[in-house]
Amino acid sequence: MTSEGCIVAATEQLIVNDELARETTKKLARSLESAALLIQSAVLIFSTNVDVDKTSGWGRGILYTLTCAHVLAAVIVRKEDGPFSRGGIWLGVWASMLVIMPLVVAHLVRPASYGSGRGGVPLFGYPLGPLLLFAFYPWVKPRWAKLKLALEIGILAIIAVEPLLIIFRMRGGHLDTTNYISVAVSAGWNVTAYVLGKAIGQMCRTAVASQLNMQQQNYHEFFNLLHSHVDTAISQIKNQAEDRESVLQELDRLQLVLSSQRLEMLLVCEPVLLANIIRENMRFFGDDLIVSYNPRACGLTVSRPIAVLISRALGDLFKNTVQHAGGVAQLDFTIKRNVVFLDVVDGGPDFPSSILDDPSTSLFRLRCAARALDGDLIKLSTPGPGAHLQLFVPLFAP
Amino acid sequence: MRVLLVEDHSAYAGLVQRELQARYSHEVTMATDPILANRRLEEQDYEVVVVDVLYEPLIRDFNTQRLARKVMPTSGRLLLSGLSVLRASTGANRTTKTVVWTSGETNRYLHILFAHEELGVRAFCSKTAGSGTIDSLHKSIVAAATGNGYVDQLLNPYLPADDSVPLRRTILREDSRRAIWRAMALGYHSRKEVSRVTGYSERHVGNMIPLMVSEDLQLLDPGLRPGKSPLNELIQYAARNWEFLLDDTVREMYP
Repeated sequence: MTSEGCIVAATEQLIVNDELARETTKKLARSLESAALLIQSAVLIFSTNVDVDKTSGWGRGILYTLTCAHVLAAVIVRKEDGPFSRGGIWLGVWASMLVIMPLVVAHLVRPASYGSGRGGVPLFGYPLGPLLLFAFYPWVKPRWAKLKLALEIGILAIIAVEPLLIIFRMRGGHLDTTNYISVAVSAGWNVTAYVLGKAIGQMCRTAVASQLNMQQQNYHEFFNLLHSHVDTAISQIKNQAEDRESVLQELDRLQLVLSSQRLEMLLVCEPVLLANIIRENMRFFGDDLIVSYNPRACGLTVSRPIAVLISRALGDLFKNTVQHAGGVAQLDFTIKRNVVFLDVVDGGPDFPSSILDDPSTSLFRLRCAARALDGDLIKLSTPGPGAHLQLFVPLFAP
Repeated sequence: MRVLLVEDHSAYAGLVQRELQARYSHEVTMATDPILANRRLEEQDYEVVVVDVLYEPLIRDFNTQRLARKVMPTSGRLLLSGLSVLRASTGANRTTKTVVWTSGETNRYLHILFAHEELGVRAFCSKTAGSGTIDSLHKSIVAAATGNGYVDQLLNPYLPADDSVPLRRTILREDSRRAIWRAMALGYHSRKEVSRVTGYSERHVGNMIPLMVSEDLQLLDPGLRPGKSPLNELIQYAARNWEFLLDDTVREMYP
């Protein structure tokens, strides 16, 4: 991709903050809608066994039928889009259920018992799931954000006040303290569900914002790199165009910077293609390194910690080869019983194994890193002159 | 030697053309994309064709269509890449030899594999090889022309090992699996959408998904350790490799 393409793509990503949050929230709501219906089914069963007038057989029948309908709806909504996912006028389905169901149950309970318990009115748990969804789901367009708040508070008020109106009508306007307490407790649960929904919505937005902040940070660092190294190198090259040696040196330096940055970016996302790591580490040393035997990693990918370890190992071992062994190395890697073995052999001067125990050496630090992943770095003997180091690490974390 | 160089960065291609002509006396014709290259191949014979794998303008245009869901697996043409030129070069009655010339980024490794396994390419030259890119390219051209293999050390890791399972026995192994891959690469992620786009039943799609992970992906990549959702594994793999999965030549050879 050209740098222009990168900039356009980066800009497009950064400006979709609000839309991204909405889309993320919608995806969450799809799976929660089914759960909300199941919770309502459970609340209906509870009401059927506790609140409904047991002398009237048809009351339980109605509630069991409604329970089955809710379970069926939960299954359907799991596969197809539910009212929340469809949005718009479909939300009226949820709103009407929240208003109608308390009326139904009010007429199925024992006479004068509706709102007579201090633990809340019958079926007070029914609106909790939908209220939670209403609170965090972006069910209106952003430009109606203020209207959304007013609508939510309106719905919350209706749900909270409806039981009071039902009791008022059923008791001919004569309410006692227990009725008010019952309604207040139910309203308290409803408000709690609403507040929880708001908190979940905020969590989604915070999560999206965090991701975007990290992405912006990465872009920022990349632009700094472009400015500090690439632009500078280009200016140097233009100014020294007549001096071929200087130009080549500057290009080599630029190549190193780009290789280093590319390697960092390759190691960011999992899984990491091992061939990329091998290539990039070889490219870093350019013509200074010849790998006389070079294995084919093909499509093998590894997890990020292992990729980082292998990249570091290749970097350190190739550097040793270039500095001490004339720049010619043999590389081999195999996988046996889910353990990756990486062997680097060069024709340079041999060294004692105790170097791996010397904390001042890079090989010691490399070995520590390997052991942290349940692997190791060992020195093996060679039939002729040269040094043979083997890094091994389990392919999969335990 | 008569060489056809297929490269979309025309300034860079122009430089390479001049250097190959001046230093090694090759007769180099340029083409900036596979469409032009295939036309050149119709007009005259070349001894060697040097082919870049992916072409930015073609990818950009196709990707816009893909993201807007204006492309279907059965659309007239999918994404054109260097594979189409490689295939045309090695078609019936042709003696043209081929060189793949690429930097070897992640989204090209399946193309490299396919070129090696299915199109018989044996010369692979890296665009960023050492300090003498032209020298390496010249060596690869000569090697290809004489029927010898040439693999740049930077590209060797991408090629299949002796015991690797070829693509035709992994991700390209079966009609329905290929259709599912293409649907996912087009952005259709749920079973319902994939079923609608491919014409296979949801049940069949659902049955195929775990098999595609365990039988195809894990053979291609022994390092893959699937998470709890095979569907997510396939979606992620399709997203990383959509340029290959929606390649027009791959579809022609493996419909």
